[in-house]
Amino acid sequence: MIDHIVTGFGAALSAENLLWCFVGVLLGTVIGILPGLGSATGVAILIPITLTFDPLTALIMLAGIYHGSQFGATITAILIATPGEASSVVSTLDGYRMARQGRAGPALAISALGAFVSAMVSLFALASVAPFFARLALDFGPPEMLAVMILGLCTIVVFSGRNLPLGMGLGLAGILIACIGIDVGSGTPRYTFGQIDLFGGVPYVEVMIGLFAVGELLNQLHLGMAEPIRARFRDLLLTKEDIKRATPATARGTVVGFLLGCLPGAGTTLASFMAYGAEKRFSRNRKKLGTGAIEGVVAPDAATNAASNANFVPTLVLGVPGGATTAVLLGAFLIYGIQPGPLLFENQPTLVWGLLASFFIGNVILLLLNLPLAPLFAQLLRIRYAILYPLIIVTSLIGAYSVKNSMLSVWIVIVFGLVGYGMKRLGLPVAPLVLGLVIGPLFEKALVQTSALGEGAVLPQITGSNVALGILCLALLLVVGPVLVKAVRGRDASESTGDERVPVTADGATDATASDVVASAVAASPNESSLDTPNPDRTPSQERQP
Amino acid sequence: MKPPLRMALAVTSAITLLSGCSTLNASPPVPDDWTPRGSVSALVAFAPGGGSDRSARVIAQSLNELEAGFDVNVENKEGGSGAVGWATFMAEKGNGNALLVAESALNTLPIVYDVPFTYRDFTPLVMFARDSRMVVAGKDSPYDSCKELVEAGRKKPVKTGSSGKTGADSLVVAEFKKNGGRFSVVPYGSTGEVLTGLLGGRIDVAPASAAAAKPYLESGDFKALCTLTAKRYDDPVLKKVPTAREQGLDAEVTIWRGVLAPGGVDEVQRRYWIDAIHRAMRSGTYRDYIASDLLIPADVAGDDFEKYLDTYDRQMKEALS
Amino acid sequence: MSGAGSAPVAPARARRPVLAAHCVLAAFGGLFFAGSFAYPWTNPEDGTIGAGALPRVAGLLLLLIGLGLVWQELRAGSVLEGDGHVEESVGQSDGERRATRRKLVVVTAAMVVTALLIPVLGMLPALAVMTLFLTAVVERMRWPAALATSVGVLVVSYLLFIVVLRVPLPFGLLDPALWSSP
Repeated sequence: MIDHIVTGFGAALSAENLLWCFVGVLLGTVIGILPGLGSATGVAILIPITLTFDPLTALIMLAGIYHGSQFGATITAILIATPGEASSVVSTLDGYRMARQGRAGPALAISALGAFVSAMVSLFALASVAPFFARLALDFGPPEMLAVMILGLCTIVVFSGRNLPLGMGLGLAGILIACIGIDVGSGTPRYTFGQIDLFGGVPYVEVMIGLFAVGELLNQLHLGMAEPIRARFRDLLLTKEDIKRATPATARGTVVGFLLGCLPGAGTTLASFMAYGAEKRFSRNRKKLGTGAIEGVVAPDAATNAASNANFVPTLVLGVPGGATTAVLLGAFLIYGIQPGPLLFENQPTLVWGLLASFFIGNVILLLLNLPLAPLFAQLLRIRYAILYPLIIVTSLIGAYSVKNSMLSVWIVIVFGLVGYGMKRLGLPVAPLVLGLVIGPLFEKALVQTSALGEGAVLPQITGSNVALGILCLALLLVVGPVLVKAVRGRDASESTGDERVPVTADGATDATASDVVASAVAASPNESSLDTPNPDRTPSQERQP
Repeated sequence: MKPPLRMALAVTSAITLLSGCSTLNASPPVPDDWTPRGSVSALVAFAPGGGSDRSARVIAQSLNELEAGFDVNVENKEGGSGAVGWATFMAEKGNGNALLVAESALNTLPIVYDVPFTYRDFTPLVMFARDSRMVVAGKDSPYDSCKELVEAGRKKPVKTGSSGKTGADSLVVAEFKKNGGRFSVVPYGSTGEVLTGLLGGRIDVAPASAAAAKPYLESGDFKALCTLTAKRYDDPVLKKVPTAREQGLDAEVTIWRGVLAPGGVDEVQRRYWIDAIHRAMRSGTYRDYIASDLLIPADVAGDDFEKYLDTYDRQMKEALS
Repeated sequence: MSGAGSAPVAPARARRPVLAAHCVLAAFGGLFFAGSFAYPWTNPEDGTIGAGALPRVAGLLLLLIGLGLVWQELRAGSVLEGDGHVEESVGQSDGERRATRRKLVVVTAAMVVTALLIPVLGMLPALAVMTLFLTAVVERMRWPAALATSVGVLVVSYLLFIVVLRVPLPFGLLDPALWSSP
């Protein structure tokens, strides 16, 4: 194996390759910054350019674009609450608050560092144990994926703020919006009213650009335009305290991201949401999360990077792309003669190790490029908002159009911009809506597949799988965990734990386990709210809620 | 000013506004020495990375290698199993600077769904490849041939995967059903996912393209039951696999891949593109693609392609009804 | 929306914007619930879960949750909604507030008009015109500065999107395909 690593790096480390990797990282960062143009579109757009290169050079450049665009997406998420990709939605929660507090520099720097560390760790894992993890992925059939999706939906609890029913409602709204278009299970066009453009559904990238970029922009105009932020140089650098707090968060994010990334189809977005959820449960500073905590920035970014690398496990070993970008890269691999499959690591070691080596190099260059640039990017906030907001509109509209080359996307951005503005004015959390939108179709697909495997029955499929049951237990823990902890710590505070109110969820769906989880989520809500912000005055009205 | 109310308004207005975004259709008279200039779009109705996208990129690149003064760019317009992209291509009516790289689903989709287009709305140029399917099972599977599979399916439905209602996999299932077998179909997103499902033992058999199945046959994870081609594959690994017809089943699946122009293009433009694509098909890029993807080379152009599509459409109507 | 999230204490009455938001959620759920009956609960062929199942369950749940929220708001009002991060524009006079509202409407209208202009003018020119309008008219920047900004937008996005990234943006009437033939 050492031989392969040496050959891989030897092949990758030529001056020409390094130059193209640098160009790729730079281009990728720019692509990531533009909303709508995510890494998938970026790689797809640039593949034709790389076709003239020698395979390894082309792969190195694509790796640069891939990693660069992921980081670029985080930059705008942090600076102007405009995530370039769905996976950086979570970065807006704490990153944007840090930026508004004048700490954009550290937020960007820690995000770059966290991403780098997790990329290194996950690449090492990918290189050493990819076949093992691929076998593990085989144990994840539809019932297990269904359990994972339920776990994902349960993180809505974390993103709902203080009003859990409202967060659930918005999550459900997201799921319903995702129902528009051709249904993933049976292929029936739903809620399309005969409009062909709606056959493809309401695409979440455009919804996201609308909700975040345009919504936040209108919100800022309402607030009388954000003042340019002039941070002191001292504030632009990371402190020891920052790094100390970020280390465990990075570790957690990496593990969550890598495990989810190994599953075909689970994707990086879910990983970033779940990593934030994990922070909200396990971090020492969990109470500060959502107010500009560094853990809330670094954990999702580490998870996104780990997941995007782990995505290559199913891609290379099984030939099943783990996400949209790896799907595009899979196409590129075929062009360069890499035939993914069970024998890839044995048959084509040079190309595989060259590829992994180029990922390593891409990440190093990314860090070298972005760590010094972080304070510089932070200076973007000094641009007068009167100039900044037209620019945001321009990039949002072009970005939206280029996702699918469709004017419908432009209209979706405008419409959801207004929706996002309204939600921001009312303080409605946007994250559950995005989560529902992203997970809804995956959840339904897993559900339909599970029922097809069970010839109509879902429950026996789930109870017959220990893995699925284990994941559902985890979901239950995520939801009721804090309640239990509280019950053990202080008996007095536990009055509502035994509260057997009938939950609003009349889940007549298909499996009792899922509805149990949702039901306990509802039951947990008053505790959840009092955990975050103790507010004894409000207890009576909470008790009355249905 | 109640912003949330806009959500409801927005949904309705989004639908009405859709009508406002059609492109202009002013077409000037076409001279006899017409050549495309500048940027030519090659539309694919599927996401980047899939089989359709790959074929489009190969065709685009081979056309660009001709260096004939135009530049073909692949445009992905995915959604609705291809419906979104093809419906938009109708708006290109009369535009000689637009190409469509499509496949059999252009026939099957309008049969399965209620969409406002059929292949007749476009101008067939060249069919450049044929593909088919083979059926694989896990190495410990009780089935050794498709014949046995269909027999088993008479008694109890066999679990198979399928990567879409309008794709080739559904044609395989339809062919076997015609022979009397029963199947319960688990829907998957792509052939890769179907094969993973088979590898994980979730389903009993899987239809797959030869290119996707070959690595697993080489590694010994799967065994091949039959191909649905007319003749056996000319490939060291796959030539041992008998066709379904050899096993006594009346089953064959053919998928075409071809280039079409918008409806209503001028005869000059049609001839230009047929000629250009023919020249592009002599390139190494194209031949490598056919070889590495285990496709069956094809060259059916112009009126012949049109007739082929008519026949194909009739067959599909029978198979899928 | 003057009442929205204005005070951290429980308001005595239900606030209308919040109430409206919850009503919209409930209605949204109700519409999808009603619409789901056009699709089967199970697939007739094999008894697996059909296209109507998820929207029916999720729609019903949303309808119930929405109604619950409305009821709660009507009974007690609530300070529970949202993540509690509403930044209200305090210290604005009525005049300023009206100006802000007008600006919001104008910016939104500018986006809509731009979207309508894209098929005619082409993407980049339409956006450049919009930038000029926003900077010069809405933000009252001096004309040279505004002009420089919008030309800058045009040039940079042309280089970035058309030259480097080759995104096929619509050209509108400037489409060379319309004019290339003699």
